[in-house]
Amino acid sequence: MALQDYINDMMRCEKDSVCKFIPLSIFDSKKYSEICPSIIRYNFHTYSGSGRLFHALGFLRGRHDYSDDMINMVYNCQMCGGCDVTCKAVRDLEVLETLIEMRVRCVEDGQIPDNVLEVIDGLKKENNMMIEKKADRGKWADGLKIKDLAKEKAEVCFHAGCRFSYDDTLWPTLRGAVEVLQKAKVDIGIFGASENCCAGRAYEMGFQGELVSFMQSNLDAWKNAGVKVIVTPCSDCYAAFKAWYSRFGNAVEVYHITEYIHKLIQEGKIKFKKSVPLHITYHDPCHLGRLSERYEYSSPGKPYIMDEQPLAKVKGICCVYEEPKPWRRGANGIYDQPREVLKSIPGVKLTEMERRRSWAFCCGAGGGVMQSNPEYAQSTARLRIDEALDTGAEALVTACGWCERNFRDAIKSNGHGIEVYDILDLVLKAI
Amino acid sequence: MKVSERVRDVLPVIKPKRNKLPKEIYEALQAIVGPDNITEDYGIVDGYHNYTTGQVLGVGTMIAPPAVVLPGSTEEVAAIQRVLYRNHLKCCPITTNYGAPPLWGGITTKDMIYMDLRRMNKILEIDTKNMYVIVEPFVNAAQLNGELHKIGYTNHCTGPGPTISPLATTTQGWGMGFDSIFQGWSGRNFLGGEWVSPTGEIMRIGAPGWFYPDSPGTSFYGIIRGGMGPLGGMGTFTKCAIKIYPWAGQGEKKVGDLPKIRWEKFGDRMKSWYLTFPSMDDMTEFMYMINKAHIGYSMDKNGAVAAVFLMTDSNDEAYNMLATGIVDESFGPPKVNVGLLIGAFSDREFKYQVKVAEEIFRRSNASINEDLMATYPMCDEVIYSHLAWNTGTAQGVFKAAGTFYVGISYMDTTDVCSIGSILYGKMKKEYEDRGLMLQEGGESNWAAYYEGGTLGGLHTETIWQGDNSDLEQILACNDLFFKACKPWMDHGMTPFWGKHVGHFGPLIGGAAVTAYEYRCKIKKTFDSKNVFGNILYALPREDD
Repeated sequence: MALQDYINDMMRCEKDSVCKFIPLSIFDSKKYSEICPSIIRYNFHTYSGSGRLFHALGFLRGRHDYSDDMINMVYNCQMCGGCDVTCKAVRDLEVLETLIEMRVRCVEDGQIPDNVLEVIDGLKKENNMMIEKKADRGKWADGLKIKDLAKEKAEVCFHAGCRFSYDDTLWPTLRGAVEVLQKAKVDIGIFGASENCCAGRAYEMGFQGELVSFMQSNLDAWKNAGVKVIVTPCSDCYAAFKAWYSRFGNAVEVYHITEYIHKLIQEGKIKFKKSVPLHITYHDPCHLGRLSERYEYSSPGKPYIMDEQPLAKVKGICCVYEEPKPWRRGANGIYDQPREVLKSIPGVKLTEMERRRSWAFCCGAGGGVMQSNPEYAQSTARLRIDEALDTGAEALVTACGWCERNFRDAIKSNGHGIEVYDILDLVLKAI
Repeated sequence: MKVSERVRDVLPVIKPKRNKLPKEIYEALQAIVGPDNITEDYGIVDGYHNYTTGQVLGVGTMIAPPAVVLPGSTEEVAAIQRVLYRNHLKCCPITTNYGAPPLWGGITTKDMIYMDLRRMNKILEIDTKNMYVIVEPFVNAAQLNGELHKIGYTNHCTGPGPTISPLATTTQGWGMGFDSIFQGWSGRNFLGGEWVSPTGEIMRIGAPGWFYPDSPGTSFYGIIRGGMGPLGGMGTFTKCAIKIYPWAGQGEKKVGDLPKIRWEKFGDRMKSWYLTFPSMDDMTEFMYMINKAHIGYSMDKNGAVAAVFLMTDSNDEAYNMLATGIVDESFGPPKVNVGLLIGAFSDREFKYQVKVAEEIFRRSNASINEDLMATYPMCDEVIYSHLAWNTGTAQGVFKAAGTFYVGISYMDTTDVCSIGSILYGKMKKEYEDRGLMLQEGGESNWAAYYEGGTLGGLHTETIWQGDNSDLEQILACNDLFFKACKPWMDHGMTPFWGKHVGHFGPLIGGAAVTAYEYRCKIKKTFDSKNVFGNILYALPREDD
């Protein structure tokens, strides 16, 4: 796929601004009616999904060229997919795909912000997005008795991901998750220092080649270790394995840890014994929710290559492709399992935020923004924290290390009074 | 053929000459709004550019503004306009950006500055006692109605759906919606406003408070608002007082995720039907009977193919539904379809309205479309949400090709509009048969009934869809638009644009006779440099 393959989508945008707002049918209040962090922050229409489509069209038409402002605009977007699902609630345009391809084009042309380049250099050299040493990747598991998949075989691979592996404040959560799975007698192993990045975030920053290359490395490693199922606590990794890998023709059986714990609860393998008296609200990570839908085709295993398919004319106009497009509209993300896990913990009281499930507001960390523009990432997080505070909850619970870190950083810089937890933290308290 | 190759073939690369703002003007604007709220970087302003629809009307092709400014207050709007007027620069204020740009709100000349009113987005007041709201330009209908529904009120929303700006639609002459049967059209709900003249003077219309007495003849409000959109008016409205109405949707329950939001329960005193009539005559009689009975909360006539796109979530799904042949067999032309929603405010009234409606169905040969219900079980919910909430209406229908064009439209008696629909449908069908437009059997004339019979009126619009990436289809749309003007006037009707023509004056302005002449003089008085509304408002003339 290339940027020009979405030209039809660019030209079919009517500038109706549905990409900026929560649809009226699920609307709760004006205060929380917007879904796009980028247009909220920068205001110019070009920063919205629609504006980005028009911008991409102008770029392809040769009406403008690269400039600093243009590159900043392209990269000041969390790729959260909010514009995509709200557009698709009424229309049939591939907004997010176009946004990603615009970045891919920037990378191809060498138009990359310096701080993004620094992160990608780190990825190429050290296999992680944290600009850390590869050798330190498995430190979080020091002292744990767990299979090393580089040497042993296991049915389930516990993939920690870059954020969890290098952010030591998250290590207790990570180690606790492993212990919970082991107690439930799940045959798990880790790759430790030899674990690879999923490269999902790199892809969302425009580095498609890195995604394909890391995908192949991961698939080979899992195959060699006899792995059948991947479990990850990281929503970014989850979306990469489930959505982005399937976009390039590889279906991976992957569970987010909350999904897997939900499964174990259903099977009676996890039982909560302690009460956790806490009033919480739950933040749906974009990558666990609307971005995690698999690319599924009417022809199984067929890769997503729309540009090779002729347009079918229906009733005299172009509107469908010979191979129907994958159904990716946000509805099939992971929304119920985290909530059911939380509701099954004694003492936990869950109050929902207005923007939730497929129309949740982004934490601000995605799409490389946390790396390229941390101030913008945190200002977005503050908007979400305000929404959480408006529920009256004492704690904001999420299911992604990136969200958690961004929320914590925003709280630290702004002094918001709300606790932040991963669902796993509450699960560990209750067991 | 690959998509990319095909598109490249039909639309050549166009590199327009860019008009760059003189440095001193840019700095003057920047001093007003601050450096974060103005840009002339072409990579950013190009996100505002317009195409295709402008080509249909023969104006504004591939143009992006030299700069975009984001004022945050009325005072900033006034200051910006003073700078632009002084320097003979054209200005186009925009709100939520909707409206087939540049038809109503787009760039038409290379020196036109966009004034994006996004930062002015507050609901300033909700007065339930006197039943009005005061809003700024960027508040959209979803935000306003979302707040109003919670307290038992609602606001008129035009056909394009909830992302329209109530201020933008209320401050122009047009603006029909499905709820018009209960709430009238947009201009009718205008109670007062704050307006910045082209020369940058701030004026408040409506006294005392926010109420402005409308009266027969040409009012001051009518003069400044023009016909439609910023290209059809003068100056900028920065605040607007709008009438609100009681909301009848209490008791609703919704569940699910996007895009499949399900109505688990409809409003306690709401009921909707999707009706099929054997002919346009039957539908016309039905409209008159509904009018006489003074019932109905929301109602629209929609084309059968359009209804399929409305009811489905994707073009693939629509394709499958069309492939069943249901349109041709069950409700396509010559049959005519209408969605009707009853909304009442007491149980007794609800029972009465339902009983009357069902009797009218019987007398007008209306039938509930059982085939459609069987093929598409969610039909009930879609029609309910379409009529009660105006969710996904135009956007849902226009996902077929991605865009739409509005041809001849009219607000007149039901008979006149029905005749017009048939007349224009025939012309449209010729283009459909040549494969140049979405094939709807000459349909796609949507109609909304208004004012509960006070004027006995119907608003019809003939809408068609062409493929934006297909130059032949775009040119066909242009062709149809202009060809259709003449026979329409031959039948004694004023074209959609007729009353407010600027750019189209030589062709169809004559239909408006003295109103057009009068408007030219008004324009000369308020905006002699023609800074605003340069295609849909009358132009200033030297000899006036």
